[in-house]
Amino acid sequence: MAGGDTYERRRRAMTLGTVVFVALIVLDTIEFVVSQVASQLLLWMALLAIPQAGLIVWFYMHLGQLWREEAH
Amino acid sequence: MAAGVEHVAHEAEHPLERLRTNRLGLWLFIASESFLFAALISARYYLLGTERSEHLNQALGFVISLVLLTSSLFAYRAETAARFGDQRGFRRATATTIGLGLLFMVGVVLEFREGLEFFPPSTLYGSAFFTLVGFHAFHVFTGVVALAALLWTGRDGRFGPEHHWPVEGVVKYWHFVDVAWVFIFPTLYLVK
Repeated sequence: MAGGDTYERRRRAMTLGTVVFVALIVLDTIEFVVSQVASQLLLWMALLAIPQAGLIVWFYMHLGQLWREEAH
Repeated sequence: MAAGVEHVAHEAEHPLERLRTNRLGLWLFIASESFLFAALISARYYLLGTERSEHLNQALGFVISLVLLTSSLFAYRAETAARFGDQRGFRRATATTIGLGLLFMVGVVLEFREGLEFFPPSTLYGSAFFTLVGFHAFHVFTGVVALAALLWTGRDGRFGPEHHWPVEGVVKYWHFVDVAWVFIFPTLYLVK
């Protein structure tokens, strides 16, 4: 039972990592494409870079862990 | 002195408290590093506005961005594998992260070769470019060294569910290097 729970938690963690990765790649690609076609690039770049950084900091770097009682 | 010894003994008895202290320390270190990168990025905008060289290889910059983002996925997988006691998964993902980090550095070397030709460090743009990319590449290099040390020390299977702070610490640092690039890439390559 415990083994199954561990397996499920691990599977969920790996899936989350992959979903975040896909989101990062999509945002990075949009950023590149927008830079080729749009004006007001500084605003666009900020709008696209900040969510990327947020995704990495929150999901990959586990910022929320700092305030949680138990880490994992 | 006695209070210090007492504190160390207390931490040894309370590993969770120690883990929290470690995490807080690392986050403070990352915050201080962020200020350094923010200062360099600000200097680029202060000196040049949004002006950039027309000779930049944007495609190469984009490709190495994808390489670094992919390395972050494998770093995350390495940490997750260690957390769940999967030694093989940990070693494989760590080695892949190292490989991608080295690939990123090869890309930086290619950029530097082009940069030296079209916008040498003696120019204003070249100065901003080489300082920012060089400073970041140095962080990638130290991250690769730390990951290699992790792979070496973890070959005996010492990192597992009960003890994976070293993996978590190095992987967090690696992700931070990725976050820094997320801002450096548009700052140098895309904004105009």
